[in-house]
Amino acid sequence: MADQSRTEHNKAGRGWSFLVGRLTQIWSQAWVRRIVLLAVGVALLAIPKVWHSNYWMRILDQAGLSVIMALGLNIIAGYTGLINLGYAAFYAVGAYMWALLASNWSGNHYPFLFVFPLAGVVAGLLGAVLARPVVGLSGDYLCVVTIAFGEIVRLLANNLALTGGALGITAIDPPRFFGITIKSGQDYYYLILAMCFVLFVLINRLEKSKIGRQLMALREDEEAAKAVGIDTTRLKVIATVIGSIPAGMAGVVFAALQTFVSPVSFSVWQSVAWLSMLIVGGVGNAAGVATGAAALTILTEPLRAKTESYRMLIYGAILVAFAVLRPQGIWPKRYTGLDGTDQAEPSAASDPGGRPEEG
Amino acid sequence: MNVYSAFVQQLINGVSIGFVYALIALGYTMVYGVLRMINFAHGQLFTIGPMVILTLLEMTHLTDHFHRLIVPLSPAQAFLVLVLAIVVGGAAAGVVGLITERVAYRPLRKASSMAMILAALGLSIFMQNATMLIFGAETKGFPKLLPTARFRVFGAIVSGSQVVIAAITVVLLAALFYFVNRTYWGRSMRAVAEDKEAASLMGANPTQAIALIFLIGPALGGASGVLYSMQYQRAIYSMGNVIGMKGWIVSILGGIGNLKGAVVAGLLLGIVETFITGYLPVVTGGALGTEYRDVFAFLLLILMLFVRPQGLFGETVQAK
Repeated sequence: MADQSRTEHNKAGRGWSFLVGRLTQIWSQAWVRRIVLLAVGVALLAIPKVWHSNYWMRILDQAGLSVIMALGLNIIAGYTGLINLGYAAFYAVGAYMWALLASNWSGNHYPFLFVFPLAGVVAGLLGAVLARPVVGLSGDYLCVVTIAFGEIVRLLANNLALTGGALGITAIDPPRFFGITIKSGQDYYYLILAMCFVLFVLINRLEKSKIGRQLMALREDEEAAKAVGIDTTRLKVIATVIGSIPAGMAGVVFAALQTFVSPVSFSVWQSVAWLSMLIVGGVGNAAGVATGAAALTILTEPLRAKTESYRMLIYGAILVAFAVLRPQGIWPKRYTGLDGTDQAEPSAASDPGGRPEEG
Repeated sequence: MNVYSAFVQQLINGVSIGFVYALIALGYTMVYGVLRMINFAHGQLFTIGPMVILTLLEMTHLTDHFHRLIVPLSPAQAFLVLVLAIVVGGAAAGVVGLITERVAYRPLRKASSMAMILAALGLSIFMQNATMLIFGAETKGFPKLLPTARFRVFGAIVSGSQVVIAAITVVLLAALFYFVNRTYWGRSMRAVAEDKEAASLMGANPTQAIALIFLIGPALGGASGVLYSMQYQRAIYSMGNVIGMKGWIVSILGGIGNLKGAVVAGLLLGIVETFITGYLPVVTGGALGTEYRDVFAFLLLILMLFVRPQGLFGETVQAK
């Protein structure tokens, strides 16, 4: 079966589809992937050493955080199909926790290694609280409830004196552990890179685990998944919890990086931005999502200096364009076949969610 | 002002804003009825109505650069300009609505729901920022076209502008209900909403019906925006955001797809919101203030989805 599809790709004729077919074939070899990964890893580590620019370091830091958020959202939305437009709430929880527990503003200075995992736990708990009522909802209602959830958190942050109101909290501590203080853009870069790496490894483990397979079954066809005995309700809650943990932890680093937090950063539009990174990168594909997140952030952050709204205008246009023209993203999700090979399509029927996927 | 008249005052204010919510919610509920999707971009049409009107008024030299009337108008003339503003603002929004349907939603007719939702969200961002870039980011004033008389009703103060706006809204609603229930096109819309294939077998054209919905719904939204700007004397590019959110909350509360429900729920939300924010500082001794007004819409939504997910007037939808 796999051989057939490969030769068919080869026979696809000259031009674009032929090229893509050959590249796909090369990419499906495991050793190719490992070498590329190694090269990418080395390149990423080397960037701050060869490129000395504080400005771009900050942009890469933001990109890294976007990658983490996109990967987390991918677990919730990409693997299970639960669109979450209140994802910024988990980010906010982590960020405000750090701001309240480690800043000159609040007078507390709890250690980073204490708050960092705690933020993950709290975000996870919040995810569990959010997930229970929404598991039965579909598409639009899900969006609506998650937007409501996100907005409630933002409005509370905006109005409570505890969280500094609309002005937020300033003078936030940098992370300090094992005697190192993370202060410069370069320091944050390595910290965030390490977080991304760990998250990637964990997601890889997750994809190959029993829960991972159950999640993908759930995404592809919920009824069929239920029919084979998967408890879809429990699984959706689990997915939301797992997906919200990295968001909380990323929030901590975000607060430290910016040295201030304000409710403006946690709006619905931020959640939409992450979702658009998902759709551009390729929903359900961790590598694709990460690439999409990094690419979109790097390309649009410089526009923030010019005008914020040109940046958002482009985001909106990109989102509409991708939704209409290529909903599976630049790098569509792949299915690991039973024999371990990568396939472009599931072995059986085409994608039941809507249009059949294009190879 | 005693307790009784304060109560009446809150009621009047609540109904006032409730009408705005109702008009917006109608746009959401109509689109959901046929396309089974929440058109997140609809809120931006609320902004487009007043923005277009402000530009037109300035271009025809009726207002100066700061959107104040420079030509003195008699009450009759002011009323005429007012009506024209609503009609033109609504028409402009309706045209934009048609364009969005053609560009973004029609190609996605058979796509997955995630694609449609993302298209709607993307469109929403795009339109908001396009509005800002075209019309400017500053808060704009709005010319005084409404009468400034004030009356006392049961001890509460009702402004002439509130009366006029309420009257216009009622007229718009009546026109809509007449159109939907008594005309051929309205019947066609309802048929398409109920079952697209069967309707087309009966001779209704789904494409035209959908286009009509994307004309009328946004037109109502735009008209509502103009009314809102007239009442509160201001317009800003982001005004569609919160109102838009409340719009789809209201349409869900009333039973999405149900026009009557949207109106009732809109009024209900307006009243409940006004009352809660009015009495909240009193009840909590100043701990919680009126800034929490918007939270209640969201809380009400979550409550409704728990207790009665189909909304007040909706039919029970089978869970998949």
